[in-house]
Amino acid sequence: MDISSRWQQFKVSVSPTLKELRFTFSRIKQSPISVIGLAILILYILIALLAPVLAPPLPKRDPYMIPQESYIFMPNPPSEDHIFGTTENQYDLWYGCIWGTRTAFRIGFMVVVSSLAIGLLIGCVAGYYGGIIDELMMRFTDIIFAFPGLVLAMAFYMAIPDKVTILQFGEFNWTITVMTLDKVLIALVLVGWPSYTRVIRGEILRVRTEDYIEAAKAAGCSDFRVLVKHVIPNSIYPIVIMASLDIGAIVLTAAAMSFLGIGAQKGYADWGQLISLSRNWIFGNMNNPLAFWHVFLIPGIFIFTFVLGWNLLGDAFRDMLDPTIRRR
Amino acid sequence: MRTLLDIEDLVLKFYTYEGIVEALDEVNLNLKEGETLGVVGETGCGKSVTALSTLVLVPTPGRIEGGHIFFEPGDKRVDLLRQDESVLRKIRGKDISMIFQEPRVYLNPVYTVLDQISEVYMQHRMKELCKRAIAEIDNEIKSGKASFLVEFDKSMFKEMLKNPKSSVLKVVSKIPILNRYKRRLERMLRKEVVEILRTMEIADPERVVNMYPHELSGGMAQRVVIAMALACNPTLLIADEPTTNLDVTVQFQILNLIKILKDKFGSSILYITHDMGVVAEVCQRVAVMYAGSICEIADVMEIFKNPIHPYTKGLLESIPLPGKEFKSIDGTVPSLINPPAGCRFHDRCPYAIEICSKMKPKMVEVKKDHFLRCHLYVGVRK
Amino acid sequence: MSALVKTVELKKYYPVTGGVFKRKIAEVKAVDDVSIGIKRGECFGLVGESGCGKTTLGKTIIRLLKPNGGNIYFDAPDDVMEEVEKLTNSDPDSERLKELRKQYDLSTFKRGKLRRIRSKMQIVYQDPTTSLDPRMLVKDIVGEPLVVQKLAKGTHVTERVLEMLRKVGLTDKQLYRFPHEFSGGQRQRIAVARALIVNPKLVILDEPTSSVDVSVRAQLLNLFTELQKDFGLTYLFISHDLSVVECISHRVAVMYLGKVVELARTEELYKNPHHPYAIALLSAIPIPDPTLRRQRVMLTGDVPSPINPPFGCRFHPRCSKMMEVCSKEEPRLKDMGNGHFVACHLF
Repeated sequence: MDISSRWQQFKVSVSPTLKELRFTFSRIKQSPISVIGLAILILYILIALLAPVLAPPLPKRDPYMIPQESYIFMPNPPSEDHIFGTTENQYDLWYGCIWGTRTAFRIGFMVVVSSLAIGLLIGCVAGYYGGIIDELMMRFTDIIFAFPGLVLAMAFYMAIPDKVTILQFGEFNWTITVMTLDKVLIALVLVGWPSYTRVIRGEILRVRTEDYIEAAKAAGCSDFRVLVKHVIPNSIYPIVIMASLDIGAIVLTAAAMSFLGIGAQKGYADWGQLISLSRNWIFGNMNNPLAFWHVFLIPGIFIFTFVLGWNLLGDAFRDMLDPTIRRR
Repeated sequence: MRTLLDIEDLVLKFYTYEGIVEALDEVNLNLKEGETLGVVGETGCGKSVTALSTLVLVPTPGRIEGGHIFFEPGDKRVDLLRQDESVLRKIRGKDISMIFQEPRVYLNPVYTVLDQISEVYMQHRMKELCKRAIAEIDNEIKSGKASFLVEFDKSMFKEMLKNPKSSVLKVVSKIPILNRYKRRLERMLRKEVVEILRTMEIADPERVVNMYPHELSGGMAQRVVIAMALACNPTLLIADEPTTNLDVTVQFQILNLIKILKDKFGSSILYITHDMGVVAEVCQRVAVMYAGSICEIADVMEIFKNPIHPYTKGLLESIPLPGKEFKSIDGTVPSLINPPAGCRFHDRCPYAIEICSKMKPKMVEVKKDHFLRCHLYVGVRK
Repeated sequence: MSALVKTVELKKYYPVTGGVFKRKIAEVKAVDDVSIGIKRGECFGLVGESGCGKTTLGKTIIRLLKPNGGNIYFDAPDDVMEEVEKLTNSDPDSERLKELRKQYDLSTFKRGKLRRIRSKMQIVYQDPTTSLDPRMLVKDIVGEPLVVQKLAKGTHVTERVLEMLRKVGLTDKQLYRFPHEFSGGQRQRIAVARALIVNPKLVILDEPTSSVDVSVRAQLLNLFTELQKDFGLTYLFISHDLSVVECISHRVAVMYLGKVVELARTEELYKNPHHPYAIALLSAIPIPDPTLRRQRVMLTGDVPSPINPPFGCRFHPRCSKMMEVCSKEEPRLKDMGNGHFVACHLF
């Protein structure tokens, strides 16, 4: 008796949220752009999940290291053995692109989520409390913003040490090795958080003066509760849109940095790495400039469609979630 | 008195994602020349969209699907719903003007008061201004006070008279010395605008003319909007709740002003409001609207003394009076996406009979000049 | 009846900053030396036009805003109030006065103490669309004050919420809905339920019927009167709609530019206003009867800005009965007898 009534209550309590979600989905379905974006992303998610099936890793090897059949310098065009061909030093392109999908998601999500977290923390405090705290934090943010992103990211990359000692107590030593890819991620986070801070702070400034916030204070809510339960849920939507657009941008930036030589280690399954390996082969032979088209075009297409998918979805989110257009 | 505006069987639907909103359901209204007709109703009953439909300015998901709006300012009778955009643009602002509820929202925040009222002038009374400018120049030449290049200015004005959009004008207006004719035009416009602001009882119009909308108080902003609307002496003025957002003393001033201006300019007014007190102050005839259709139209005394439609009765009874118990109309306004069948008021009506839920009543003249849409009184005749 | 709230020379000023370093160059005197008393169980009406400070006064009384001066004595027994008054006149610096103030004067309360007393005073806002969190369910909105004040937990909260919703005329089914699914009148009822669920003593009604339709207005007014009887509430009814205030309030105060200019029992004020501004205000109300024409007093000009109010009596530039003393000295509230107070040099 109790369980069934509880289940009933649960269903009833969740139903309005479900109704809203269903409405959101119906809006997604109505716009062809968002359907395409969603389709692309679902395809990539499938590829990432099925990576071990599509491109089985060699045993006893880090699956993220691309296998090399030999060490010949010149890339081979697509053939039966290698569906996408091979790039410099015979790294298999098919393997690289498939496992690179996982890396791309990892880069995108980790950087965006971390930037969001930092941005949320600083933006909330600055926006909600205002005054001198706001001034200080915002000026600091402006300083970071003033540097050209890529250059600053490279500078951070250089500054992060390879080995970090977390604890040292006599004999006991706990050091971790920071992989180059992680260094890239950290650098991108350190460069990326200001934009989130600004957007979040702006939204919070808008929401802060609304009546229901004052009503919550009149009921006796503490500042923390007001922030977490009222302010943030109402200001989160522009952030969601920005984050989804940013995932694609971050992957692009990471690829650009790889191309410049700062990125994952050589042989790591990462689209940026593959593009970086193709540096010498962009102009091909004297007679045939596009002789090695597969080396840069194929990873390029992967990057392009990935970013496109996120951009389309982000645009769709914006149209859907904007409250003025939403209920048209 | 002849009819100036005749809305016949107007049907308006909004196509939204949540369904089709049947906003207006065979609205029938007529406005006689020189009178003030009040349209009363609650939020969502469709009075604002009726006003917008008259100007054929209904925003996009809305589509007018039937009916006629006959407008007869002079001897020609036109159906506004079947005219071209170019014809309509000549009518809007000149023959039919509208003033809105929140004045500061409807004024462009980056232009001064002078710029905005001048814009209305330039749009509709350009020819008059040019003729006056030419006459002025001729006077100056005759009296010998002409400064140099005045002949050139005159030819520019003649050009403007012939073809305001000519490319010659466009080119000359950019050349520094040759575009002095503009100064004369600006001077004339400024004088006109100051005059009209003075008619609006704005103290110190010289100063107000240079202000931006955000510097104006609510009452002043509303006067500026009225000035814009009356700049071209329109035959019909549509006022969409112009005093709802104003303080009560300012409301009193504006209502007084509207009465004075009506007498002075002889316009007819379609006054939309939800406040019965304002209706009693300003209007001669009243139309009561509910959920997209007109329930009752009668003379203002009739409506207050002898309301017939149950909704009108309910509305008048719910006006709070001290000592009296608060009476209200049960229920809420129905959603217009799936409006109730038959008479839209039947589920809240204390006198509903069976036919009310099945068939929509037709507008019938039950007494002289007293129109009603209700099944209860169908048999009643003069 | 004893006073539930007594304000003494309450002030609330907003700084106007300017210049490069954002220094304070002027002050908006939104509430300037207001001393009123609200009796237990009454409905106290507060009227005035925009910029007069009535909303600011309401919010300052329940400490949503911090006053710049003056005292707000809340829920003090009669003998304490008498003592306070005696001490303020005879010995304003006494320790005893300070002690009493710490106990009863809301302007001295901080943080924890303030949070705890909030359950005794609540507010219903003007616009129900913006006063309810659009992303919260009705159950959470109405239940929040209970949870925050730690008055109930878990399923007990839901029970109390249901009880409250029924009292304001909503149904059980509407517990799990979002605010945007309701009409204006229903949203206002949800706001009322939220305010009353913690059993407050004082409820500030800030123009609660201005954003709803005329037919719903009567329903809400009925609801307010009923709830006042059932729960023994005291209302501060702020409105610019004078006809509504006339029907529901026991006493009415008229404010102009941060000061109370007249205060009287409702019938007395509406029949026999003394202050020129009150006369003009009451005469400007449109009457919903085309046969009755009122004797009208029209004011010239607009309401001046509260940043630089006129010197002396704040109404003197617009007053038809202005005398010389009006531009020099500020009039104080004088008792005309029968609970009728006026702040005007004419009396």
